[in-house]
Amino acid sequence: MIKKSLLSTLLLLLVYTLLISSFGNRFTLIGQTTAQENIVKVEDYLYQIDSPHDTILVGSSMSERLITDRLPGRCYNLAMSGLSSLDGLHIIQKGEHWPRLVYVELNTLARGYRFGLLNQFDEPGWQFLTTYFPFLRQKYQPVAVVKSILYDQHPESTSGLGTPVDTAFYEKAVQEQLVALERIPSDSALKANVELAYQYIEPLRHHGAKIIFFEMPTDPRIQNHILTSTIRQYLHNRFGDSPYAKIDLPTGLYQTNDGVHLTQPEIIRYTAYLSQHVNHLEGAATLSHHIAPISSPFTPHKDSGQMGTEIAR
Amino acid sequence: MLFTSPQFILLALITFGLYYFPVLRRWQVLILIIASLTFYGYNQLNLLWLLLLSVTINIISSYYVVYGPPGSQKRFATGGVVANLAILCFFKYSPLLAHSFLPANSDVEVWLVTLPLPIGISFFTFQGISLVVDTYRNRHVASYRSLIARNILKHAETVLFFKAFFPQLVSGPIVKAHDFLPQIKTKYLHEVRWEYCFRSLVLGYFLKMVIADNLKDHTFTIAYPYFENMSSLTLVTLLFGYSIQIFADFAGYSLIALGLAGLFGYQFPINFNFPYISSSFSDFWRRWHISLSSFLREYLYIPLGGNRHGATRTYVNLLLTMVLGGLWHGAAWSYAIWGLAHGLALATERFLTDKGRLIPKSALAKLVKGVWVFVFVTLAWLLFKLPNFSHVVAYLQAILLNTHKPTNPISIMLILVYALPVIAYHLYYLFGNYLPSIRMNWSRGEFISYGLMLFMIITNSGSGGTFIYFQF
Repeated sequence: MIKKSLLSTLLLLLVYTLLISSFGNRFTLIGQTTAQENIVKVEDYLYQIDSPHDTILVGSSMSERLITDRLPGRCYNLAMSGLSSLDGLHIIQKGEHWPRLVYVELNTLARGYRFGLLNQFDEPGWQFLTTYFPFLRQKYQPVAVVKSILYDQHPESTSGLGTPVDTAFYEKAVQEQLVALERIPSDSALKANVELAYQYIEPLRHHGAKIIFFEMPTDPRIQNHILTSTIRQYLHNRFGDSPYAKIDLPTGLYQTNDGVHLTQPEIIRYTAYLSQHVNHLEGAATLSHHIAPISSPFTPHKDSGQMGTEIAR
Repeated sequence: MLFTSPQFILLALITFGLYYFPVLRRWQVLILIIASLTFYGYNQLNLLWLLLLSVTINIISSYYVVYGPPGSQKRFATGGVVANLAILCFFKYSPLLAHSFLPANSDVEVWLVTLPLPIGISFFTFQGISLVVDTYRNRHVASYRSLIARNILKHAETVLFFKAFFPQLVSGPIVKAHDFLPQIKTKYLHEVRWEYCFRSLVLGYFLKMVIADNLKDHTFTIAYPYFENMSSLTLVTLLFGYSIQIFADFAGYSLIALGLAGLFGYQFPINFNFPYISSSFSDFWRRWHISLSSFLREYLYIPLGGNRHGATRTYVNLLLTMVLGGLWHGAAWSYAIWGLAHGLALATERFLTDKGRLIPKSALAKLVKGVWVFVFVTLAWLLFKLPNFSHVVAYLQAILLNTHKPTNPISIMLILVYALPVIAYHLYYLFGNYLPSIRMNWSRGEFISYGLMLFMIITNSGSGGTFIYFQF
């Protein structure tokens, strides 16, 4: 029974490998769940050959839906739901494809590692195995492939556009976020996370990458929370005098679904805002051969105080 | 170090090689002890001392129950049980008690709330209690006495092995001393039951890595307040998925433990016996986490008096056993409520059965009762997922009220796809009993099923995660 079972498995793997190699590239394969979508992103990034991308965006679910095609540079989106900017930076370091430009979301930079999900990429031999045995990759999981063929080829392109925000849900979600923020980590833990971020970012700069920090707009109660402000201060203390660029928070109102994730129309608007400011910075860099220094240290924006009132209405 | 991690597989392979190496045969127990301490230390090196302290207490108490001065046996047995429970209560329940009864942010409260929870403490504590109680009960039985070595170092080795043996150390099954100690002897490679081990390991890893780990990535959305934005159908499907996930996770772990122990020549009792086909609550508890329910029956319910002191006392004993069983699962009042809910269900069922009102006569009546038991059990799992009771109420309200919210069909389809093997697994058992031809046809094509499961383990495992029962 054992031998026959093992032979059946071997046969199935051979047939499946043939199928993948013949038809695998015909479909957009993105995984089944959020966690797997993260891993597929990392796989696609690490195993790319002759990548066309010279720009990388790292962050969390907040920036994951930014429309990278509209940002300057040929941008690969390594922002991952449930993870932090540090996870993306870790993957860049691991991949050793040094980009020209890196967008770093600040909101989660001091959150520390979340990359338990990505541990497999640090296992010795894992990269070798997934390179030569593609059936081990998440994107080629049989259920993911079937799901992609049946569903992902025809996604509802406008889902979520213009959906009104449920104010009751919104308030509860913000309260939960505020409760989470009340669990303030120790100073040493925060500083250690900021230092870790520095240790990842500094080598990127040494490899010629330009670093642009940006902060996703959130509900003002979250944006101006003491923990958020403290983290900004720590980030400023560590990065403030270095030749990094930071795009200030926008002055206008931005609507979120739950206090931290922008609605789809706002994502489009904020992408345009980012793009405009990056173009400005890039232009300045071309003229003066260096990226403009941080214009405003990591401080909360004063003009965004009305946003929550509007949403609550 | 999870059973699903490459580090564990490496450790198991090295241990297996050394274990059956002829020259090292007389050190077999020592090899397993070293492997077990490595396994535990890799997870929580800073709390290895606590495991060793717990073992030391059990070495001393069980030894002196047999060889102590005449008249002192009961004192040593009681002391051993109390010390075991004290360690469990301090490390597991202090944070809950401090959080509930001490002033918030006081020094003592902060210290107690931040105490680390040692992995597997509930399991190895119960095994320690089993050792002390079994030894006390059987102190005059020659065959059992012979298992407690006169040489205290030899006895220490036995107790350390019994409590720390890595397949069951962190999540059970809870092995009782009178079942395990007689199995300790020299093992030979030709005695290994390969097919039994293969079946247990493949099915266990399939349930854990393919079913539970994939479902986990869907059911994580059962989180307040996010579930309030989902449709009724999505909420019901998520809850169903969580019910399947928790079964696949724990039954998977138990099967892996059985298979691993089998590779080293040891037999653990089965821990799950198709629990979701149960047609009554008492049947459910004979099929779900059998090693815990039999432990609670043997070491708590029966010593409390069981059903020997009249109806009222029986119901009280039942409720008390289930509430404590609930609290065993975790240090939160929601677990006590979960235990109480099951206790009330058991007591009500017993009351109605005694009155002759709840004995299903037709197949349809049995089916309806089985569905009711499943629905109740599944709803009760919400208390595991949402420790705040008000969030549980909000979830149930959302099921009733959110009929108008948009549904995500793909998530529902994927949950059903992953639940399907578990449903088939239960149905095969259910109908196999009635239609023997199904069993016969299954055994002919069994290798295809195992081949397919192995293929799915390799190609379709979910993102790795700890076992749900690790926290218990």
